[in-house]
Amino acid sequence: MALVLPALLVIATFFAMMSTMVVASFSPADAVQGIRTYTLEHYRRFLASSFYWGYLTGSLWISLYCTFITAVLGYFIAYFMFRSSSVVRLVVGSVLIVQFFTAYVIRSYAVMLLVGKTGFLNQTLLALGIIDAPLRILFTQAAVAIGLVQVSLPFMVFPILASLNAIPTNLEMASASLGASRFKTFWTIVFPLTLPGIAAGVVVVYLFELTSYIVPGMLGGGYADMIANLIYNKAMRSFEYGFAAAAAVVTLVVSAAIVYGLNRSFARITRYAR
Amino acid sequence: MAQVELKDIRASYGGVEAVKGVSLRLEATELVAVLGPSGCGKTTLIRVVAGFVDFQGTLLIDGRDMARVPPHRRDIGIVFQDYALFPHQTVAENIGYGLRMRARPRAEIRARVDELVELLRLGGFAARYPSSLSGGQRQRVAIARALASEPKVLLLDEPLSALDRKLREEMQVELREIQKRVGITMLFVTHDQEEALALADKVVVMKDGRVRQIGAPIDIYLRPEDDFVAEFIGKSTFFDATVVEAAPDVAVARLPNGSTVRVPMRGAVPRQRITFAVRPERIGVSDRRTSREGMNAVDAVVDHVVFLGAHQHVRVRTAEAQRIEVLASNDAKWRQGDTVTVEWHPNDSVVVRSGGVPVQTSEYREEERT
Amino acid sequence: MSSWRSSHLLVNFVGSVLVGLLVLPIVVLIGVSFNAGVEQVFPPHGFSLRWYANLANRQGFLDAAKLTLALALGSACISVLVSLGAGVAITRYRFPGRDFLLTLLLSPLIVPQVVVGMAFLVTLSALGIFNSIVSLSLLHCVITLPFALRVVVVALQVHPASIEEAAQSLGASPVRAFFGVTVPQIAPGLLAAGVFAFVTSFENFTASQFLVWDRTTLPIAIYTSVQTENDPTAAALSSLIVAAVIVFIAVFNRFVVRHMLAGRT
Repeated sequence: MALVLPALLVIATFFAMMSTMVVASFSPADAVQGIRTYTLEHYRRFLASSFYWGYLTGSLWISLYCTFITAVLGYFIAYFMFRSSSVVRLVVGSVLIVQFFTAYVIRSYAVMLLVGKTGFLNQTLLALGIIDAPLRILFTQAAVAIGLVQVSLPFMVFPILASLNAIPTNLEMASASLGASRFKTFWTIVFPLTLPGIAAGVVVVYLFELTSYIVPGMLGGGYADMIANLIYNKAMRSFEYGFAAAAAVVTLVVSAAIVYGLNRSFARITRYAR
Repeated sequence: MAQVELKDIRASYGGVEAVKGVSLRLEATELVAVLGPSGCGKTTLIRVVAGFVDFQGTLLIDGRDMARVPPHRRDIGIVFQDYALFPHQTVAENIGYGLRMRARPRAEIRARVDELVELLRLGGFAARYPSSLSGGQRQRVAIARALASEPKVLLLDEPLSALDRKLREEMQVELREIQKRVGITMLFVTHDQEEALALADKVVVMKDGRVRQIGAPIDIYLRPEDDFVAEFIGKSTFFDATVVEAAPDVAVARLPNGSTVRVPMRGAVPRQRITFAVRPERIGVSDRRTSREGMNAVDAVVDHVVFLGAHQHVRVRTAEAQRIEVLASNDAKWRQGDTVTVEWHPNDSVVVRSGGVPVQTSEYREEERT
Repeated sequence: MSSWRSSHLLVNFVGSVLVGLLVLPIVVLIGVSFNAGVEQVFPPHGFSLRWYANLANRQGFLDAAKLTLALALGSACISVLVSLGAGVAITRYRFPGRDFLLTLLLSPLIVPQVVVGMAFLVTLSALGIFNSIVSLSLLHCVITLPFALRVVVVALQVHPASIEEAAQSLGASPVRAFFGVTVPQIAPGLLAAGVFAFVTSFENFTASQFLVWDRTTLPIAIYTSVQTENDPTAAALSSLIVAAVIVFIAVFNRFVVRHMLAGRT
C-alpha cells in the first residue's frame, strides 16, 4: 500500500485545491476574514447575465462546429494515411507528431502569422489578384475557428487511425466478395467500425476546444474570447476570485456532463462488442 | 456450379513471388483441396481467384476471362480462416449482406436468410452479434453468408483450422453434406492433410508456389510422385537403393546393407540409383523371418517405442543406421534393443526418385508443357 | 499490396492538400524567423540570423527556458516514479476499489486546465504562497501524473506478472525479480511515460499562467512577447523549439512514432 501513497498524496492535493475553489465560489466577495458565510451571488451573477453565460454558450457553439470540422478533416487525413504506403504513413505521422509535441502557443502563433493582415494568406491572395484589400481574418471568430481546428487535429487523427488499423483486411475482402463496391464497403463496413475512434477523438477534441485559452487569446485578440478567457480575466485582471471560481465550477460541471453524455451515447454504438 | 480454370497463374504478394505458374481445373460441383505447408502460396492462390491480387496467366470462370473483373462482380463466396464476420452486424444481417449489396427485395432477403439459418442450424442465433457466438457457430455463419447470394464458386481459406479437433471433424462431415446438397464448386486450401484427404474429390499438393501433384486422395496417399509429397502426406520411410536387375514392371534393388528388395518400377536400368518410400502402417515387425512368399525383409534393432492406444509406433534402426518408422498393432510388446525383422510387400513401396532426379511423371506436368 | 487495396486518387489528393495545410503555419513560422527586417512576413524579406542572435540578449527568455526545462524534467521524473509505484500496486495486487483508485488517479485528465489553474490560484493565494517556483512545481506534478500513469499502467498490463513469478520461482526475491525482470521489459513504456509527462509540462500554458507571480515559463514568455512586441524574435525562439521537437522525435522515434502509428500488415 506504501506504493500508492505518493500518488494518493498528489491526487489529494489536487482534490483539496478543487474543493477550496468550490468553497471560494460560494463565499461572498466582501467576506470578512475569519467569518464563514455562504452565498450564491456569484452563480446568480454568472447565470443571470446573458453577457456572462454568453461566453459559455458561445464557447459551446464554436467548439461544436469546430469539432465537426476537425472530425471531417481528421478522418480524411487518417484515411489517407491508412490507404498509403508505409513511407507516406511515416512522413505524415511524423508531421502529426511534431504538431502534437509542439506547444499550443507556438502553433497558435504560427497560425497568427499565416492569417494576419500582412500574413502569407493575404499576401498570396493579393498577389493572385483574388482580393484587392487584405482580408480581416485575424482577431475574428474565423481566425479562432481556424486555430482551434489546426491545433486539435492530431487529437482526432490518432484515435481514428488506430480504429482503422484495427479493422482486419479480411473484412474488406469479405465485403467485396459479397458484391459490395469500394464505396459500399467503406460506408457499410469501414466507417461503422471506426465510429469508436471518431467518438474517442470527438470527446477529447470537444473538451479541449471548449476550454481553450491560447487560441482565442492570441487569434481572437479580445474580440472572440471564450469561457477560459473570461475566467482568467475575472481572476487575474479584476481579482474577482469568487466570481471566477463560480464560472470555473460551472465550466467543470458542463464539461463533465458533456463527457459523460458523449461517452454514454457512444457506448451504445459499440454495444455489438459485448 | 461453375467450372474454374487456372492456366499458368503467377502472382506476387508482399513483393515475393508466391505463386509460380500454377495450372488447375475445377469441374462443376467438384470439391478441390489445395494442400501445402504454410508459405506454399495457397492463400495467394485463393486471393487470385477472388480478385484481390494481381496476376499473370489466365483465369476463367465458366469460360469467362476474369482478368479485368473486380472482386465484387465475380460472384464468388469466400470463407476466411478467421471467418471475417462483420462485428457490428447481427447474424441475420451478416448472412443477408450479399443480397443487400445486390439490392434484392427485402422479402426475398428475409426468406433466403431464414432458409440458410435453417440449413446451417443457426436457429435462435439470428439476432445475436458474432462476438457472442462459439467458433463453430461463427464458422457456420461465415458459410451461410458466403452461400446466400448463390455464388458460382465457394473459396475456403483454412476454414477449419481455428476449431478444436472434435469440432473440426464434425464440421468436415457437415461441409461435405452442404456441398452435396447445394451442389456448388468448392476450392479450399489447408495445411492439414487429413482434412484434404477426408473432404476433397481432388487434392492439389503445392510447395514453394508450384504444384507438386494433383490427384484423387487415394492416389496422392498411395502413389506420391515425389519425395516431398510422400513426406508431406502421412509419414514415410525412405530407402536409397541401387537397381541390380530390371524386369518390365518390377526392379530388384540392393540396399546399402546388401540385402535385396523388389520394387514396382517401369523402365528401370541396372546400376540406376533410386529412392523408394514405404508407409509405416504397411511395414510389419516380427522377431524372426516369416519368410512369407515375395515379402521384402530387413534386419534391424528396436530403437524407440511409443504406445498410441490402438497402435504402437516402433522406430527401428538397421546396422547402417537407417531409421525405419513402423506403425504396428499393439498385440506384440517390443522393447528397446530387441533384434527384429521388418517386412513389407513390394507393392507397398513407391519409387519417389530415380537416377538422382525427382520423378516427373505427372500427367499434369506433361499437359502443362504442351 | 495489390492494386485492389491501394488508395483512390481523390483520397490521395485531398489528403495531401490537408497535410500541406497542416504543415503550412509551421513553415511560415520558420520562414518569418529568418527575416532581415522587423516585419513578420513570409516569404522572408532578405535572410538573416539576427533574430536568433537577438535571443542571446533576452535574459527573460533565458530565465523562462531554464525554469521550464527544470519543471519539465523534475515533474517527468517524479511522475514516472510515482506512477510506477501506483501502477505496480494497481496491476499486481488485488484489493477492493482497485478500479475506482485508477479512475480517481486519472480523473484530473478530464478537468479543464483553466479550472485547474483557478483552483491552484485560489488555494495558494489563500495560503499566502506567492512563490512561482514552488507553485508551478506542485502544479506540474499534479498535471503530469495522470498522463504518465496511463502509459505506465498499460505497459505493466502488457507484461504480465507471470514472468516475475517465473523469476521468483528460480530463486529471485520479489524486489529483485521486479527490478531485474519487469523494469527492463517496461523500460520503453517508462520512457514513453516520461516523454509524455515532459511534453505536457513543457507546453503547459493555461494552468501555469495563473501562478506566474515572480517567475514565468517559456510558453507564457512567448505569448507575452507576441502580444507586446512586433518583431520576429518570438518566431526565432519558436522555430528553435520546433527544431528541438523534430530532433527529439527523430531520437525517440522508436518509442513514440511506432507506438502511435502501428499499422496493419
